[in-house]
Amino acid sequence: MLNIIRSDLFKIYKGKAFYGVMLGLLGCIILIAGIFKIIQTPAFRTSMSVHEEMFNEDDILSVEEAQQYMPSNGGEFLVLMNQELGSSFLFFLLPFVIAVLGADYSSGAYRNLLSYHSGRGGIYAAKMLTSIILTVLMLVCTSVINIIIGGIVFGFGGFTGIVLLGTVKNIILMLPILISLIGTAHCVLAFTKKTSTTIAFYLVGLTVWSLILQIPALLIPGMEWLLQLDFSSSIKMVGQYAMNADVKIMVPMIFSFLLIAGTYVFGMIKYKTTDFDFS
Amino acid sequence: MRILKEIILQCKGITKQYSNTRALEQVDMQIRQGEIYGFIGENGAGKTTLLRVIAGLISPTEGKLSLFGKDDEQGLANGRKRMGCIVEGPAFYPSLTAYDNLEYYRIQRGYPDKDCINKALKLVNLENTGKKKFKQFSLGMKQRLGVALAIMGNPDFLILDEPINGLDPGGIVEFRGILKSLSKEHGMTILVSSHILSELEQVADRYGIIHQGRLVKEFTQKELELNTRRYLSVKVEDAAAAAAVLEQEMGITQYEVLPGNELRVYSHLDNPAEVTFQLTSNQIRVMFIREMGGTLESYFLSAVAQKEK
Repeated sequence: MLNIIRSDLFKIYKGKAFYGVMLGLLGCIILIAGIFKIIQTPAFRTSMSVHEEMFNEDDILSVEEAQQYMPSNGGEFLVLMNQELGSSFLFFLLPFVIAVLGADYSSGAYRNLLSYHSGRGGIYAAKMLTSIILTVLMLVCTSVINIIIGGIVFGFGGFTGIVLLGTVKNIILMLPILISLIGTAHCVLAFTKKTSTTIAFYLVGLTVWSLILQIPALLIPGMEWLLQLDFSSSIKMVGQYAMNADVKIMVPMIFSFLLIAGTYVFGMIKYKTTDFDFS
Repeated sequence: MRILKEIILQCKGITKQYSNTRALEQVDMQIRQGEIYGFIGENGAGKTTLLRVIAGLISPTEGKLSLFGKDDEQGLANGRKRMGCIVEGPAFYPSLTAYDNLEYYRIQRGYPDKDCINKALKLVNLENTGKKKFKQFSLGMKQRLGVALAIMGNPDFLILDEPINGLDPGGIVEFRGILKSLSKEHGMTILVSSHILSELEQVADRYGIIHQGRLVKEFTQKELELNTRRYLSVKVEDAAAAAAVLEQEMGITQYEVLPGNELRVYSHLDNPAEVTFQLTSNQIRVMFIREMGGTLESYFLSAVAQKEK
């Protein structure tokens, strides 16, 4: 099992996809930091004030109010990214992890793997562990990029022990949610044996699931708790909890662990008994 | 005394049923150590399905498979570690080089010796592909890389599914040489499937013909030679007199007399006119004379036709 993980990490290291995705992420973070920086410039504030006077709408934030949410140093930028943009992982980075998991199917290399390693349970577990390692690696890289870009654009102030510890807590607490999604995709892959179908299923499923939960949570009084089962909402909650906000995260955590266990068992059974023939 | 070698592969009554198709029907097959077994069949006959069963990609609906004499789950798992195979063509990661692809499998399979990659690449003449990625390889190069992977761990049993597909004539000759060397010098047992029968004919020791999921015939190279030997079929009025002419006038000893005044002459294949001339010069009427005999293709077709009858 260890050899399978080592070989997959070698493949990621040698391939270009991981570096491409991380470069894309770097570009996104630079863009976001750049937009924040532009919003804070006096010229932008003046132009927006004129705009505000012209339209005078009450239901949108005033420029002064919006400024309160803008980071004034690198530490604040890091906190903002942890709390508000963690869910970008769901739509940006996890599909890449699924693509890595499914590469065996798309290239046909599963034949070489299965004809040599007969213990399919071990293979399934190894692939799952590889994707978890990859996710941790990407979470850590994202935080490092946030620190560097935040520091360069807004200055290296504000990186207090609380902020850095909060970032580590955020990574640890986000993991069960992300692993539950990877586990679900891994399970779906065992059924479909097709990477593209699984990624489409994942993205559509994520959106539909979110809608199913958010609509009643917003419209029906007393149903707000449903948001705790919504992945993007729960990632936001975890980000706030990591920064010591008064948020309860027990439900999302339990739900994630149940999902991990359920999809792992179900996927493993399917993987162990399925015929790999594609005919 | 003939020493029976170890049975490497044994299939007993292997059947594979898909929802409404029976891909394999009671297949019995046995391959002994050191043999090159040519597995012949038309497209869709069941060759790849059986190879998938042997490789562990699919489970048989019925029947028993044993590798290196072991048929339990652990024994089969251990047996597969002694196997190298390409089933359904070579499959590699497109953005990696030949070396990196093999390094990936070396790590995955836990082969300690890094040099095995270079040895395998050298054997299939891919040692100079440098930074060229798998996706830029020609079909022949991909096939050769597949063979390199299959032989990298120095397996005892090699399974190659249609390995000649996509190879140019030079590549086919080269590949034939590789197979012979693996068998003779490395003592590998080889199961090679193909529908390019003329190529199998030059390397295999034993053959199996699969048709509509059934193994319809198995035969050795000697049996094939015997059944496909070229000869002149001569129909005459008096076979005994003709035989005497062949022996006395032409010195031919390799011939057979068949019922119905027919002779099979195994020499002078390039000069039937001379045979005709000698017979007619000795007042023996020749009703017809023509070269006959077969190839693996014709033998295969007759075996399939017999089964269909």
